[in-house]
Amino acid sequence: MKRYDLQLALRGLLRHRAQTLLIIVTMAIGIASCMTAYTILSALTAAPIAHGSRHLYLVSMSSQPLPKPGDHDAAPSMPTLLKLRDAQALVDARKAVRQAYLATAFINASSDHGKTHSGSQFAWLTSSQAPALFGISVRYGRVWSHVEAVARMPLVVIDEHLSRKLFGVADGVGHSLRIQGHLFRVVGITADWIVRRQFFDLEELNLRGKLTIGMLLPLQSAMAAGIGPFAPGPCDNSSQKAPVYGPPAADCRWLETWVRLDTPQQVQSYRRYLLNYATAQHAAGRFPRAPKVALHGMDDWVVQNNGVPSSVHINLWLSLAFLALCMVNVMGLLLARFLRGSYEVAVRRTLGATRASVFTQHLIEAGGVSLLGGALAVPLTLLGLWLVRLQKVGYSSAAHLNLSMFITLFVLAVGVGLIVGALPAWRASTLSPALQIKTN
Amino acid sequence: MQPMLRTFRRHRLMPALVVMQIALATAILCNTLALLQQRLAPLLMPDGVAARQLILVSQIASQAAPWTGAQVRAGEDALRAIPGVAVVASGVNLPMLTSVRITGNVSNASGKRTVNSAAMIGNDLVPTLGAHIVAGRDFRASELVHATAQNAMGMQSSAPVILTRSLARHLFPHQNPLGQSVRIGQNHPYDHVVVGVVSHLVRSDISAKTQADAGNVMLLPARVSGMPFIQYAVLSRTGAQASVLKAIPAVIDRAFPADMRMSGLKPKVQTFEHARDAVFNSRRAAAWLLSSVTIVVLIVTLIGIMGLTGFWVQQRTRQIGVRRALGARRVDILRYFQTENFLLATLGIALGCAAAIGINVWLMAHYAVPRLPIVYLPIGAVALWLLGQLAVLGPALRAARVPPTTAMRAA
Repeated sequence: MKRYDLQLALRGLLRHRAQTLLIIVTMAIGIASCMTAYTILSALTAAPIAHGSRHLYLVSMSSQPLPKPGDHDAAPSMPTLLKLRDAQALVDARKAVRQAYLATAFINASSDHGKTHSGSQFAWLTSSQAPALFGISVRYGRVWSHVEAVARMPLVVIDEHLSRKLFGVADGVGHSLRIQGHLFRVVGITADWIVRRQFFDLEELNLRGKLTIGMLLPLQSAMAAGIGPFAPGPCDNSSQKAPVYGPPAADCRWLETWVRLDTPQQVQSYRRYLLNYATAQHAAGRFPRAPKVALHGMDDWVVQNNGVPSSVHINLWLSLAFLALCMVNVMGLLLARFLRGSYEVAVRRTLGATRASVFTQHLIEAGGVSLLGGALAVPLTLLGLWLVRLQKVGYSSAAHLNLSMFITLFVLAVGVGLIVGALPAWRASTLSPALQIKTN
Repeated sequence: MQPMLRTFRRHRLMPALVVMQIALATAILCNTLALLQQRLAPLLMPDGVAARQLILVSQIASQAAPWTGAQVRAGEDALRAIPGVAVVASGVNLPMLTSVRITGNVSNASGKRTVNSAAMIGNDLVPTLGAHIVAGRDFRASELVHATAQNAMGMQSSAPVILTRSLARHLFPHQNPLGQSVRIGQNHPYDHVVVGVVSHLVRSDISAKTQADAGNVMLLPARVSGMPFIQYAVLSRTGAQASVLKAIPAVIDRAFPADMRMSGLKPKVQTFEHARDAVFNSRRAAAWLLSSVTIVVLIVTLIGIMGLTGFWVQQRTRQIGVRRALGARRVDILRYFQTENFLLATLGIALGCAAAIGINVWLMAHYAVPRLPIVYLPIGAVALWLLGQLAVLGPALRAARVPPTTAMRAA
């Protein structure tokens, strides 16, 4: 009986081909628009880095000066940027599982003979634990040591992509590169590392989309070579402006400090340590404000400061409403189609077919339509994402369909199709056979 | 009317589906049209500049020491010497450039009215941009101030200002803005006297929040020096834009040699229209998306209503035959189905308008979306009424052609 139902359903699908196609296309457009919007949203709400972002915290301390007389204290939010002296003290204390300070620079390096150029790219001026902290794997060589950094040795760690570009080989350890006239020796090569959502320097820079950090420099060595951050932070003595691209003065706040803390106990004890540090600095007169500290979890920090554009959310809601419209449409078309076949249903029923069997037959037909609709939705979604990538909007590079999306798409298609098909199928199965035979 | 209502009561599912479709379509349509208008509005605003002749040079950033006044002036002179150049201005926050933005609150002298505005700072801005003075006059050479980092780029001085008509209306409604004074920010106790009003200028930082302030711009006459970056506006003579555009990079390289510039950052030379396109890119993308959504919604609704009414008409072939046999004219049958569709559409539109307002209230609560202007409800309603009539026309005409004999024969 089941097999017979299947056959009838297939024959039904093939009977009104144009109409079947119309239903399939309507369904596919609805699902594809939803999937496109959802793919973009999920790409934008991804974790900032591939692994371990939930154990990473950004340090914040009330280290800013008091407002000048006459100035109103604009947004007394606690700064996440620290002065070099404080960042260094925190990192050197090694109270967290791992820790590093960082500032972002915009650097154009060339190979030592000056023949190949890296092109401008983002680099971090940082401390030696940064790769371990952020899960950047070192492929060849090593990271500089604390001693080497303190000695201001001109060393650099670059990623494989940059190594190939500058030196033509993946393992460029031992080569040298030139930044602003200074030679830096490559001691380590990391795997190419992608930041999926910007998490650093969010208060200073806004860099949308995926980022790569291709170069890590020991902060002390970089400063010795006159390399400074892209965005110099605020300085206490505001009449003395921070130099534009060189290393900022001692009273400028320009370094973020990130730490890794695995357990709530560690978070608590680290917060205590920070508070002790801030209290001591307050007592020593370095922090004029009452000591306050905070640890911002990376994921929360990113949600707060690098939120998804609201248009992306609105588009998803819009596409959901559109899907609803398409589904009402499909329901109407299926209903019209099933009721057109009332005569055949009546004949089947008089010949002894059960209601359940008639219902199954129609449900299979609806399911078949939705399966085809789902199948067509995949290329349409790809087309939609391609169109999104064509628009050079900030988030367009994130628009790619992956396997789990693909499966979601199919389940959604078939599920929605069956739900929508159930009502018309039920209507078809409840037709009174005698009345139908008579009227026709 | 009576038989129509009776039909609705007897067959509930079909009309219910039509009503639901129209309601959903109305709700979506009203909201997308409002969003579309919001995205498009700045794109449609007049620029107020000589767009075809204007060239913008930006991203001239210094490596170490900031650019001196002499360096900025030398660059200006070198640009002016290019054949085909009419006027050159140096400054910061020139129109449609996004690397440096100067925006803030501006209030009138009494401090009673405060609006958000952008400030464009530089010399000879009015003639170079090709802005149209509609009241008052351009700045005089004697009014130029020095704009440096120390005096907030000239804003901490008593330089006069020129406002756009939009900003003037916001600050001085029903008053002559000329001779009035404005204050910038909260901590700058300087009065800036308004000496002129220009027709339009558009700022490049338009968000949902500053949408209403998109045309609020003021000009400040200043020579910029001691800044790590500088921008130039170059007005070419008619027809010379392409050749001037080609000549500029070499001139800039000579005036600001590469070893003095920030490494890795290339000066950007572009036409005004190019810069404008870049600024409005995401807006245009959103407008395309929303308009295609609108069209697809209309098509899907049309197909849906056509499919449903087509079947419904077919189902009632016998009934139509009987009515024709009893003396109904073809036009009566046609009108019958058209009226029926109109009734269903009206019900759907009423529900849809309520839903549209509901959706808008919800969106406003969660995202930066402005209130749905009431005018979109009648627009959506008319669109759906027309769509409904269009969808029913085919099936209704087919119904009108049913011969009276059908009643006897039966299908």
